[in-house]
Amino acid sequence: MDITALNEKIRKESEFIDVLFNEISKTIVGQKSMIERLVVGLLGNGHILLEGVPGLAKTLAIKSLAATMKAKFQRIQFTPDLLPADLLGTMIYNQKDGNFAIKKGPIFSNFILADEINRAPAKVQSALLEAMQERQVTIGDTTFKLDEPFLVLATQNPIEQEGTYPLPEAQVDRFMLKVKITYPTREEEQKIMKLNTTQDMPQINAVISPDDILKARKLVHEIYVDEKIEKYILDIVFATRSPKDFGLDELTDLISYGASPRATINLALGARAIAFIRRRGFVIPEDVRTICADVLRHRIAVTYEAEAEDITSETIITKILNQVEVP
Amino acid sequence: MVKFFRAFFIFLLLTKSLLAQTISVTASTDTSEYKVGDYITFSLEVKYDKNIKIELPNLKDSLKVLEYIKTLPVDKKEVDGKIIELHKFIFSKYDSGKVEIPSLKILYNEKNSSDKKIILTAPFSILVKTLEVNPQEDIRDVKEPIKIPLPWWMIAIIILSIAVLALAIYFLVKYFKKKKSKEEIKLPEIILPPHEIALQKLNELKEKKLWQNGKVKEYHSELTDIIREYFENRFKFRALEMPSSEILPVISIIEDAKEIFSTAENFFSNADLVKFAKFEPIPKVNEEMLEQAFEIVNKTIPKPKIDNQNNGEQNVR
Repeated sequence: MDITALNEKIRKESEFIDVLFNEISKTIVGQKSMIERLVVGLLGNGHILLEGVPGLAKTLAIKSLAATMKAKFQRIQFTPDLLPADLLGTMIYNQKDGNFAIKKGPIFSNFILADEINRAPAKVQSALLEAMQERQVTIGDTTFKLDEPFLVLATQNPIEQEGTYPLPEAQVDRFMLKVKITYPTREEEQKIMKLNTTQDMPQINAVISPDDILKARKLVHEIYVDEKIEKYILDIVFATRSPKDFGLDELTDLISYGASPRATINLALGARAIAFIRRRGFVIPEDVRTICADVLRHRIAVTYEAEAEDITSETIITKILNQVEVP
Repeated sequence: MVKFFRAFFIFLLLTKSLLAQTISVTASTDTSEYKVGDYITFSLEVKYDKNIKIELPNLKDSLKVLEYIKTLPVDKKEVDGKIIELHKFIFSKYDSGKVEIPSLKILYNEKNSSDKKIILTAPFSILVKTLEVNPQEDIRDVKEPIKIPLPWWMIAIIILSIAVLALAIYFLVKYFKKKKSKEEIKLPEIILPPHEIALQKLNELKEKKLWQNGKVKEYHSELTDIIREYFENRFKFRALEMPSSEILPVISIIEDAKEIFSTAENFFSNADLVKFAKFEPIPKVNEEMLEQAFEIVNKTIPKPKIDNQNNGEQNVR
């Protein structure tokens, strides 16, 4: 397709993004970056791991997003005694007809907020992550496809360590993005205070349909990614694996292992989604840089030396972005 | 009567000889004053009749006031029918002060008698002095080093080695002098200011005629690289590692670059379209892009600073 026509098509088809953001901003003050990442996850057909202290509007954000498209939303609080059946569903014996009936679990929704995912034991985490990956659930002998769009927003409590089951690296890798939420600014917090104390919470209207999202997903895949951008993405990912080749010798002892090929795929997909959100038919280096930290943050494992020096994966990503030449 | 006195006199003589001292002992040291750690030669001389058997004490145990070192061979001889035994022992003392040598007990008995008798040596004392240290004196060797004269063959080897070394140095110096004369004298590298480098590169790009030969994308990539490199060297920020969207905000706050902000904005957005969106500009746009690049560089060339000093004279720096 001609790039001008594609650009025009994307510009036209992505009009709903502004409407979506405006609708969500009725209830959510600030957190623009988080909402943008939620939409990236939605458009990129990926899932998001959220990290932030309680009370930063994580639940409200995903609830509002679900409300904008009249989609089904479920919040699941993960606890140590949670069982996979509590999540996926189970077979219940019906005494009347003497048969087993399937009772679907809360996972059968469009938007799932898996709150404090690290509080549940490994078998529950695995059940959720498998459903996220396969987008289908098997109860008894029957396999059910999950409704589309299907977006899991999992939260991790970064403060507490006791009584938690940290997600293994291989499972964390399945999340497209790991988003860190920070506190709102002073002005934003003042608005939050007013919004929550002086009036009724505004009602979110359904402004798009799930079909719009599915259509947009197809368009995201059509967005043009130049070879130069592909090389730039590869340079960034490879710099996490062999920093020495990119003149980042000081990072060699700080990275225990670099980003996986899944990171390359998600970085390209995330950059396309950002281009779509910014209503462009092609990806520019800025799109890659915008989503880079969220894609790589949980995919770079730092060494004990780095931990001892208080160097996080974010520091490493910043150093890489400052070193790898932009096309 | 005379016979009686003669017999009595003979009896007395015989009795005297029988009752006379048949053994004598003497203990002595070679001198009475020693320094700490000196060898002390202790002599024990026993003079006795042939019919006497002596038992010497164990000096290691008897003379505990001294440190036993060794026992010297016994000197035994017979003089005037008497046996003289000279026992010598070497001792030492590591403490200073007066040392009392006690009496030593020597047992003896006549060969036909089992009765053991005792004879004692006379006690005496020796003085062990400490070393006199003069704190004013410097530390010196206890003993001077022994000077071993060099053998002739060693002297020959040294002379030969020096000669070989001198020859090697001579030939090495000669070799390097020869090599240096062959090398060209390198001129010091001239560091051009960023704008001159950028203008030079822009002219070279113009000469390459890339877009005219269908290499539009390469042309725009090189063009933006020249400008980004220029920004990096001229305004000292990492423009080569920044996308256009990050370069422009930096440019907007640099005083010397404010004038070219809108040109740079237009320049980078057009270049991004060509580089990343397969946009094919008309020839005029390609020419305009080069003109814009020249404009960006020319308008940001550092201006000479003028100082008003010394009676209003103008000094240009």
